[in-house]
Order: sequence, then structure tokens, then C-alpha cells
Amino acid sequence: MILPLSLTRIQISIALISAALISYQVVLVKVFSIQYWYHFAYLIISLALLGFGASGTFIFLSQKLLKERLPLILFLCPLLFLLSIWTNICLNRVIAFNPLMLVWQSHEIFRFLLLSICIFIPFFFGALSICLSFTAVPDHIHKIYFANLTGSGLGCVLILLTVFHAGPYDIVFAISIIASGASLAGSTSRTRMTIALATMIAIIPLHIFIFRHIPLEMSVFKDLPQAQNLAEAKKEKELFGPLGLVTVLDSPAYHYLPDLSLNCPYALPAQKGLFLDGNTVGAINQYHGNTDSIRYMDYRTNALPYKLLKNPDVLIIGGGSGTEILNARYHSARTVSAVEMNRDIVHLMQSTYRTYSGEIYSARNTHIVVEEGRGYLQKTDRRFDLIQINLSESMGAASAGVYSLNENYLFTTEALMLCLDRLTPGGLISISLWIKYPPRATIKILATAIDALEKRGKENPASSIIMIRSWQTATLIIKNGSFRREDIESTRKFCKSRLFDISYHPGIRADETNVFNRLEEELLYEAAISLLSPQRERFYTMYPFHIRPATDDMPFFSHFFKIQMIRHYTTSFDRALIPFMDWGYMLVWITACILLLLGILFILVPLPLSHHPVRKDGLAYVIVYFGALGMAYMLLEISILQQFIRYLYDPVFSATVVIGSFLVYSGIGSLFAGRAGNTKFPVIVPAVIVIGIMCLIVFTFDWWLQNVLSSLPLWLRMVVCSLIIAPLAIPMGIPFPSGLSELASYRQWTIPWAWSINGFFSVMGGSFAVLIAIEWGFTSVTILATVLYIISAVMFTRLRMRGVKD
Amino acid sequence: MKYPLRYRAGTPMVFTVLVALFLYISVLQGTAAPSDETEFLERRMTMVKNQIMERGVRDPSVLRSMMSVPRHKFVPARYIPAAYDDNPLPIGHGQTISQPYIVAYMTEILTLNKKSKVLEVGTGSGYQAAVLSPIVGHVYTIEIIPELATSAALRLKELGYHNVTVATGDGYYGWSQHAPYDAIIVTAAGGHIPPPLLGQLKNNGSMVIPVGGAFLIQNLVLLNKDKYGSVTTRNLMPVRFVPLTGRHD
Repeated sequence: MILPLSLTRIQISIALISAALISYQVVLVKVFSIQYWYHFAYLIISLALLGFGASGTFIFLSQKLLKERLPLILFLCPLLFLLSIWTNICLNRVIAFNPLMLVWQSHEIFRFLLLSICIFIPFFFGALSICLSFTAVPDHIHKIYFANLTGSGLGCVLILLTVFHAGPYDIVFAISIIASGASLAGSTSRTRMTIALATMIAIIPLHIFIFRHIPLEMSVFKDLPQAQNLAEAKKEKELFGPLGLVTVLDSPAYHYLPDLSLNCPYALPAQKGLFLDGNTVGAINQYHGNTDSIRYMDYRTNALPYKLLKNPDVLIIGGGSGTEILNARYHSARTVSAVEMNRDIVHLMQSTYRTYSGEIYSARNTHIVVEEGRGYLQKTDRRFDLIQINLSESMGAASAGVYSLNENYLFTTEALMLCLDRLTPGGLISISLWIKYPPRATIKILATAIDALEKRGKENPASSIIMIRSWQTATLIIKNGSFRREDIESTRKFCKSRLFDISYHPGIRADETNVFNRLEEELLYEAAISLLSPQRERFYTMYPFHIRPATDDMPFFSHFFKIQMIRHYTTSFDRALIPFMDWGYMLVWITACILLLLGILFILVPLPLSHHPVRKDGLAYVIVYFGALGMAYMLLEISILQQFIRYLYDPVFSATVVIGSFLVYSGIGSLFAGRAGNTKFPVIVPAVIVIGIMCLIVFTFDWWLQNVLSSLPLWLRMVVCSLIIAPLAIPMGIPFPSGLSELASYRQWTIPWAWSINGFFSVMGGSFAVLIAIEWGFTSVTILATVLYIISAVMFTRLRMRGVKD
Repeated sequence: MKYPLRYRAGTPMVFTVLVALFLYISVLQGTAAPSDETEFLERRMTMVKNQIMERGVRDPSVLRSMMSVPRHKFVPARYIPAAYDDNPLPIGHGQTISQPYIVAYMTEILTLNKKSKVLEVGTGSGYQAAVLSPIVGHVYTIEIIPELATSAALRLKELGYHNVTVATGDGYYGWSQHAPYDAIIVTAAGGHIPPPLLGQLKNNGSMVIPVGGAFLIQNLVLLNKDKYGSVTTRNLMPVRFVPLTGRHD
């Protein structure tokens, strides 16, 4: 018996598959961060949107065949989506892709392509049912779009609810149930309903007995698998959380303390390795309360601030494994405040490893704050004698440049200005970093510190900086005031006895540098001299890497690659350039170029293949209109997301609230589009005006919003942020369904093609947002998005005129 | 301003020596060597010329050793065609065989001789130990992963590197039984120079530590102990970096 498929059921099916699609995308980013590295996030987002674009092209070419089969597609595609996500999980293990060999081994390119296809397929199936609904139900496009966006918003809520307690496979299980629900909603016969229901039920035992036991394998070149090779190594604890997979590894052969002096006469205690997504966070030191057992703490570059201060009140940003808290305790700090944003790490340190670590996370004079460092600095009114910021990434990851696209709001000029504001007079900021060769991060942090000191009115920043280095780490000390002669004497004495080199102190001579850990050239000293001289601008331009201070508008501290220097790099390094590339950055460029080619292919090639007689007039308007919309939406969403990270100070909450709000509000906007669709007034024009005004307001009042919101609790900040997004995202939901409705009225066969164009330009928008922000800042991204919206408004009037003419 | 190390004046002469050496080895292996081995030998010669000599490694004993050690026998079967390529290769268990140039460079900077006693921490496939073998008196090499240690020991024995002793164990504590050493190569430092290793290094001895990710080596740290036991380190880039610092001097 064939049941009629009502609009409501189509909407439910679309909402559920949309929820499943966005949740799967987020989980996949998470899984790839654990298995490989973070920069694959961009690849996944791009491949997901490519699936959307390709589904439009596919329908465009076969709409005669598919248009009448919407019920079949709504039933079948969610099931194929479901099948393909579990097949992917199994295939991922078989493919065993090694990204590090990509440059050298041709068969790795094949594996990479295979993996990309595996990622692409579920999104293609999922998007197929959404796009076909637009084509098959042209009279209710805005309602379908509403279901699509609201469903995606609900998917974000699902992630927010599950991510705290569930592992990736458990979330995939929930996604599978939702997808089978989408199939059930789209079923038009009892047989189909039975199949969808049976699938839903069958997933439960399959997940419990098989799927959840599939191990999540990491690249063998990440820190954790490397450490697992050590003698008697065993994973003691593993916790999935919103910020990643926390693992504690026990092995008698595990030793980790990167800034330790070569002259240290004391042995390290027993340690356990602490890892986040397989990357080293630090070592949990065994401590029984006897300070004699931790005398090695005095032989670290991080001990220097304690030689310049007496019983300081200390703020440690990045509590991690507790090494710096132990350091503060050894050096008799009066009070210690440690900020750690990963609540799983805090939980482990306060429960399982409480005794092992000597209760350092629970001591009487120690105050632990579960928060992002910048957020805490923003809202606290306390003043500290010492603010210590720690090595935030593992050496392996730092070396490979995998964090080059990570926004870091702790290492910006504004953040250091905030740190200076939170210091007592004469207080110190201490920042430790790995030394990479050629030096990059160490010079950039120096430049950022000088910039912050100057912007805080310090006329002679040279008198407030000391930088020392061991054989592989550097520590920068910034003083709220000027270093005295006795400070410099203490530093010299400290460094000499520990074989540390002084790269800079006020009044240093060149012959005092490069003594114990000799470099071919003491570039840190030379950089400091140049940065503190009138030649600073010239130095920024001439230095082969990007070492200008990071700012809140361009918060990419770990981005060093200068694309204009690529010729210089290849001349200098030849093939040995490979280890020095910022691979995260390069991957975005490579992805953008590949997608540009694919986009052209998928947009232009189908035209001559279409069954419809192709009338070329007006097609350019369709391309520009839907292309501009796709790109503008992504640019604005990413730009706002970056800005709101500074209000919410939690990347997971920020992404969920911003993306979820954008989708839900845009869905509401699409309902407006539906109501206004029948009128002659082009509703897109006021929509674009509102978008422009809102962008201006949000960016003009950025600093004010940051200050006001910082005093609110997180849940209230999330609510306020969501409300701020509403007047921006509602009008952003209007143009796309309005454009499709316009096409539906006179050129219906181009709807899937327009969807495809929108999909591809969204992909490019994602990549370009990052590339533009790296070079010119997020303000430029917003301006470009607004310009694109204005262009689309003009194009809309052209489309409408064309429709009237036809 | 410095420029990358390129072809130098002595290169043709050294290359002539290598061709002679190649012919000599070819004659030695002569009838017994299958055509595959001849091909590998040719590729080895190309590797030494293009990847090693051209980047500035000059020590004849190192070049001889790099020419003689069959690198293709130290890599997994699937990577044999790429054995002489200018890159590291995976050998399983998350370990790699280093890029040929890095192996040659690390061997050269330790300035070894026939009397040297060398400790290698992190045997891997045994390739570095094999390269050291003809140059030094004895190589002690320690590997923490038992499977790698066993296969490396077997391989080195089969290939006739009799002055190499392999052990399974935690390299953190070195190998005190045979200490002190003239030189130590640490290929598994993991961001930390173990103090016990420093104690096992002779005065006037050297230790070399590759720094970077598990896969890609970015620079090398050479640690020297002077005759009084004082330690200094030197950071050695495996490639020459050309800084454009904008200085006016």
C-alpha cells in the first residue's frame, strides 16, 4: 500500500538527515584530530560541502529520472548515508593513510584519494535527499530550507549534549538512529517502514557488540603511540571529552621535562605521560610532599622568574599535568592560581592522580579555575606577581607546523596587554616556547611582547625584556617596569650555573650571547636588537618567516609561512624544505585549489549534458548570485565564530552556539522569505541592509561586548551571544530560498544547479575565510562578505527582471 | 650572506674516487651479484653523489661506508623501490629509517676513527649501526622495541657486521657495562637528554641528537664534553638556512 508523503513528513525527514549530517561532520573532525592532526578539519568541512555541491550536479543531470522518485530517495538516501558512515569507520583502518609520507610516496596519494572519497560519500547521499526536495517541491522551498537549517541547528545541540559523556562511536551511533528516523519519516509503504525500523533496531546490538569495540587508531607518528613503544607502557586512563581524548600512560621508561638543564645533578622522579588527542600535554610527576625530591625544578629555564621575585602570587595559564604548579610550590609561591580549560584533566588530577601527584591540584594555597586562560584574564580583577604561560604544544606538532591555522587568543598583542594589566608593579610574565630552527615562534612572541609594552605606554620596552634559552626551549620574561641591575646579575648567575644562554637582557653585548648552546648565529639576539630599533619594519619584511605580532584580528600565532617567500625557501632548503613547511596552511591552499578546479568542473560541465535546452542568457546571474551567497555566508559565519570565541572562551561551546544559532535563525529567516515571496518587493534588499548594519554594530562594539560579557556566567554568555546573532542570521536566511523560488517560477530545472553552485562556493568560502584572515585579518573577511551580499542583492533584481521578461 | 652548500671544487675528484670504488665493488661482487644488486649499487652511488656529497659531506670513510651498506636490506619489502630516495621511510612500530643524508651527516660530525667505541640509542632497522660499523672499533646499539631489536640483530649478523652488538632495553640508562663511549648517537631523545647518558660519555667525547618530530628531523644538536668534562651544545642545521635579517652591517 502506497502512503501519500505529506510536506510535514518531507520536512521531518529533511530535518533529521540535516541533523545527522552536521553531527557527523563534527564527529569526523574530532576523530581525525585524534587519528591524525587538527588541520584535517578543513579538509573534512570542504569534502562535506563538496558532497553537497556534487549532489546538486547529480540531480541536475538526472532530474527527469529522480524528480518523481522523491519518496524513494527520502527513504533510501538516509539508509545509504548510515551504511556509508559505518563502512567508513571500518575502511579507515584498512586504508591506513600516512599523511607524513604524502610528499614522497605516490601510493599515499592514492590512499588519500580513497580516504577523501570515503569522507565525501555519506555527505553526497545525505545532501541528495535535501536537494531533490527543493527540486521536487518547488512551491515550498522556504519550508524545506527551514527544515534543513533547523535540523542542522538541532544537530549542533545533539553534539553539545553528547560530547561530554560519549565517545566518537557513541555519537555515531546516535547519528545512525537519527538517520534511520529520517528514512522512516520518508517511507511511503509498510515494507519501507519495516526496513527503516528494522535498521534502527538492528543498529543497537551491532553498536553494543561490534562497532563500539573497534579501536580508534592513531597515526603511529603521534606522541602517544610513540610513548606506547616504551618498556611496560600501558594506558592507565582514557577520557573522551569536548576538548578531545585525554590519555594517561604509565611506563617506567617515560621521562619528560623539555627545559631541564644539562647540568642538572638530580634525577627525575617517576612520571606518567599526559596526552590530549595523542599529543603530549606534559608529565604527571610523582611527588610525596618532600621538596628535596623535586630539586630538579630549580634547573629549568622556567625557574628564572622565581629568582627575580620573592614568594610571588602566581597565575599559571595551562595547569596541565601540574609541573608548573609543582615548580611554584618548590619556589615557595605565596598563592598559586592555575587555569586549565580541560575539565577532564582537572578531574583526573583531583581524583585518580591526586595522591600520586602530591595533591598539587588540591593544595591549600592553590586555586584551580576551569576556564580558558584569556577569558579568566578578562574577567578577574586580581593582580599577580607572576603570570606563567606554558609550552602549549608538543615538539612534534610544533615542528610539523600543524597548528599554523589554530587561532590562539593568548599569544596576541591584546592578550599580553591584558596580562600586563593583571600584574602588580614589578610583576613578571613568563612564556616558554620550543625553539624551532630557523627561529620563528620565539621571535614572534618577542615582537608581540614589544608591541604590547609599547601599546601600554612603555617608552623603552628594551628595559623590560629578558630572554634565555636551553638547548631546545626559550623562556621570555616581560616585566611590568624595568629590570634592575641586580635582576640582570641574578639572571647571569642563574644561566651560567645551568648552561643556559641569555639571548637578550637590557644592555647585553653580542659577545655575551651564544656561549653554552651554540648556534651558527644567535638569531634571537639579532632579532631582539632589530625589533627594538627603528629597523623593525624592515626586519618584519626581510625575515623569511611571518613574525609580525599576532593580534585579535589576526590571531594565528603559529602561522609563519610567507607565501611570497616560497622561492626563497626552495633556494635555501631545496628538497629539505619539506620538514619546515607549515603544513596546515599549505593544506588549505592545496584544498582551495583542488576545490576551485572541481567547482568549475561540476558547475560548467553539466550544462551541455543537461536534458534541457540550455539558454545561456541569464545563467551568469545564477552563477554570481548563488556563488556570492554561498561564499558570503561562510565568510561571515567563520568571521563571527572567531570573534565570539573571545566572548565565550571555549572553542567547543563557541562553535556550537555560533553555528547552531546561525542555522536555526537562518531557518527562521527562510520562513520570512516564503511569506514575502509572493510580493513584488525584493525582500533581499532590506535583508542585505540589515546584514550590513549588524556587521557594523557587532564589530564596532567588539571591545565593549568583550568587557560586558566577561562578567557573565557561561550559560548567560551563550544565550546573549545567540541573541546577538539572531538579527544578523535571520536576514542571512532570506536570500537563498528567495533565489530558488525565483528560479522555480520560470527556470525550475536550474534549481539543483544553483544548489550545486552554492555548495561549491561555500566550500571555497571556508578555505578563503582562513586564507584572507591570515593575510589581512577577520575584519577584511567581514567586509568582503558584506560586499558579496550587496552584489547578490543586485544580482537578485537582475534575476527577477529576467523572470518577468521570460 | 650565506648560500646553500652546493657543488664544491673537490667534488669531481671525490666523485672519481667513488666511481673507482663502485667499479671495485662491482668487480668484487662480480659474478655472484645478481643484476638487481648491480642496480642497487648504481642507485647507491647516485644517492651518495646527489644527496650526500652535494650537501657537503666529505669524510671519505663515511662516503665509503654509505656506498657499501645495502640500505634496501634495511627497509620493509614494500619500501625497497624507495630505499635510496632522499627521504626517511617507515620501518614499523612508529619508527623510521632516517634520510640517507642525515645518517651520513650525523656520522661525519662525530669525527670517528677505527678505535672509537660508539653507543647508539635507538637501533631501529640497524642501518645507522651498519654505516658506523666499518668506520669504528665497535658499535653498541640498544633498542627498546624487542621486535625491532631482534630483526636488526639478525640482519646485521647476516650482512656481516660483526663489530655491532645489539641489545633490547631502555636506552635512557645507556649501557653502563661498556661505558665510557667516545661517541653516542641518540635517535630516540623524545625532548629530553638522559643524564645517565652524559655520564657514559668520555671526556672529549661527542653526542649527537636529532631534534624534531618522530618522522622529520629538523636540526641536530651536537653535545661536546671537553677534557675537563664541561658540556656545551651546538645546534647544527642539516640544511643551511639563509637568514634575511635586514641588518645594515
